[in-house]
Amino acid sequence: MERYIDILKSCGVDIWFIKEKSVYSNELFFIKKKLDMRRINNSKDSIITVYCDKEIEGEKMRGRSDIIVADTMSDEEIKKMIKDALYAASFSLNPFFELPAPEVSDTVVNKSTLNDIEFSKIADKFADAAYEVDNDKDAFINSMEIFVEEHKVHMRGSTGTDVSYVKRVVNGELITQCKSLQDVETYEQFAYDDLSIDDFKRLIKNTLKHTKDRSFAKDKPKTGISDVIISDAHMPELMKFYFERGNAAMIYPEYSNYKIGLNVQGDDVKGDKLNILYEPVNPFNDEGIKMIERPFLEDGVVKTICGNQRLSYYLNIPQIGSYGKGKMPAGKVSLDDMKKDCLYVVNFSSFETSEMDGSFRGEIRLAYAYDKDGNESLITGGSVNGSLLKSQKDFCFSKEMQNLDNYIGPLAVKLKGVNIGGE
Amino acid sequence: MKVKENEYIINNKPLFKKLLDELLKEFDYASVLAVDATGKSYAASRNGISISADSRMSVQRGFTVKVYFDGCYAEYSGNAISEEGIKDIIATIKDELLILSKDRSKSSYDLPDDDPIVFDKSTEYEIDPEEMGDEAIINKLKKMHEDGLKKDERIVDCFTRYTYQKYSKLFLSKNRDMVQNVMWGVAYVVALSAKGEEIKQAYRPVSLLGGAEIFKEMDSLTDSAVKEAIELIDSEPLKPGTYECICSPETTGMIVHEAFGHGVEMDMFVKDRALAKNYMGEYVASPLITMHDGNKVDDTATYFFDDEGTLAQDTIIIEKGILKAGISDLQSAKALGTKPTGNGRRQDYTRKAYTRMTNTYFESGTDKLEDMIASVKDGLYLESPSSGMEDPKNWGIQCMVSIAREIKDGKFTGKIFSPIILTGYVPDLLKSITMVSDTLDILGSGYCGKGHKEWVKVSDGGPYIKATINLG
Repeated sequence: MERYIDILKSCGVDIWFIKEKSVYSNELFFIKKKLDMRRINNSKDSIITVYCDKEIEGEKMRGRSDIIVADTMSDEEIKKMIKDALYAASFSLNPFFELPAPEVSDTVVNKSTLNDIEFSKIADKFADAAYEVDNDKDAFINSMEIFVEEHKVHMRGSTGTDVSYVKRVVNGELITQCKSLQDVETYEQFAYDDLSIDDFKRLIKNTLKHTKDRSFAKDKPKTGISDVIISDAHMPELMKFYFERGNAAMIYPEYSNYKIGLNVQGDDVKGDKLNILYEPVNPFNDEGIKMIERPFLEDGVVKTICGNQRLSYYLNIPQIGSYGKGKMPAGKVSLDDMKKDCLYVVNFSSFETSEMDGSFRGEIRLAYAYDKDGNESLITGGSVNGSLLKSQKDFCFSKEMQNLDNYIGPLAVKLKGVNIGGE
Repeated sequence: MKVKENEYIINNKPLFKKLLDELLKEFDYASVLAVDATGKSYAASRNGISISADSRMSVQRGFTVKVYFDGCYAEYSGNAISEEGIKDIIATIKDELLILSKDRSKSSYDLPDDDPIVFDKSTEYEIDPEEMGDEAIINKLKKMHEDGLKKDERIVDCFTRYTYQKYSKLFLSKNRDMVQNVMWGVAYVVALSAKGEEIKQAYRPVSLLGGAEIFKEMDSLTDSAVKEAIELIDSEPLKPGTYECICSPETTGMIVHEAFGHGVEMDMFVKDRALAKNYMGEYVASPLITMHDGNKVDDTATYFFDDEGTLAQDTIIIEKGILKAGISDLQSAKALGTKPTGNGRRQDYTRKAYTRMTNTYFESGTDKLEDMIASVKDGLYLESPSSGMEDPKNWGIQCMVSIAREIKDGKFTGKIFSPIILTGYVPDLLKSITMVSDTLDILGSGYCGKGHKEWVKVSDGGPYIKATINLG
């Protein structure tokens, strides 16, 4: 990194920021129970941001431009790239903004049980766990990919920022298949920052069960309006609406009306009020800002706005960085008690929420329909199409909790009055 | 003009050849893919102006080594290459990669074909974005952004972006020595309008295999995006049901790509994840439909060889309604005993190659668009596709479009519905096609994921089609 700093200085760049990231990975790819491919990735590169200040018609402006450089590049090559970036920055001018206060820290090693085991053994631990519970007589693991990564990040800035962290993560995808009545499959992604073997086994067991149930599911839902339960990894996708709306990137251009003190659920809230904490994913964000737990929504009222350094400065709010992970308290109703007169969708082709209009939608791969007495029937096909702006007054969150890499909170939520497309 | 081979590839080719030679001393088969890609993204919106070259989607430099060991393939990727570092790479492959999960049962493959092929090819462009310069490019985008905002006070923002990538790839194996130099570009306008707390978006993209000449195609985009964003303010939700529909070429492209294309990626055949495997030689679509993937047309997914050193080709997937062939990467073709079709693609040098689509489209037909619209008694015109998700296993459709325009007695009523989900069973939709226009439009503005990751540049499209579709 010192070499980059020397080159920046020799190019006359006074204001700069460097994020150096190295990734070392072990990757296993399985088809059925056989290992189909092994991979190692060992890469390291740096994003260098250069800033350029100008005054145009009496107004102070600041431009920035980013480049990716690698250690194997020559000094001459990096010098040319930095000069090009400085030239580009002089044309990407925006109103002046201050950079955040400098942050200095020793290397933070992310606390994780993944650190307690030899790196090369981690992927096998997860693979062994998966095949240990792959013992259903009908449903089975069709294919699986496991990626174990160690990230080393070091950031330095011309303001004096000098922070670094090390983090291990495990992620991948899982496809289960069942040929009982119909030949069907279920796709799931997973991501852990701990040696969460029990959570992983639970995911596989649930996915195998859902796949088996889908194999027997034939009926489409009835077209109309219904209460709908959404759960598991679809929860952070649903809650994404609030995170995006609370970010300066949507507030500054007035796509979102969020401001401190706004009650985002409005009046006459009959259901659960939203309580969300911003949770850090990494010790520092990509701008070198220290990330800590902060209140976002308390009883539906905005307490903190987050965002990048530039837009936060324009909005005159503290430069705390952007947060994408939320922590919510448990609800009051158990998932089992929710299962009356509703559709519980456990698997979609793809479930999407729009931060622009609050709509959420997806094609149903497996759902459980419950009548007024709680009798269950299997559903496949059809679609869910709703609006959080309409449903947010009647949230009913589950007592049961879940801990995902991008969300800690209720396992499920019941939404009222959702459009169902089916027969 | 032809895209020039870049200096990194020229200067480091002897080093990569030496790496390959050392690998071939240890392994029955080895290959090296080196890539150097440059590019920039320019944007203007109410959030500000930006010029960046910080996304590995457009900027990357590194290499992937593939080795054949004990009947199976393994890969090492990295971006540090030097004369003295070659022995470290070999040591990592032998001492770390090949001992990973070593006691587990493994797939077994034959050695890949390695017929001699040597070439150095480049795509064409008219205007080099680097010569056009940052100032001229950002000023064009700023003007479009400002013009869009002025067109109607209900417009909240008018977002404009141009991205290009210029890449060179070198593939080396014992008998192959290939270089390709390619440049593509994508530009778009997104107009946003407000309806209370809801923000409506209208997206107008263009794409090409080439350079900054793309700006010639951008003049009408702002007007069109603003018009649609305003229309969306008064859009209504659609009553779910089955409708007679005319699909715009972009909507046809989404159906081609999401609903059917993913289902003929033959790595899915290997995993028993694609229904199409059981339908080879059978009618899966109307006899009016012929579907291609590959290099017969030029757009953002055009190349000369794939990321495993297989030559690109034109694959006819459906011919007059009958499923004829799938597309494959090298390893899947080995597993299935077929020939690879040049569809082994990586998100970047750090990722594994999978079977991926390139330029995928339906051939044009003979109908006139005006006759197609006139033939609809009570139906919808579907346009502005927003997203889609594949379901190769069950041929379920999940595609979304932003606009459905009502047609009654062969005429547009002016009423529009939004948003719209297309659902149903893929062959039912494809067999219901009764009219196909005599035009063909391909668009390569988006990236395609495999599942929810592994993003690669693709294009898709086709003619206007008339079909019966379940809409939610």
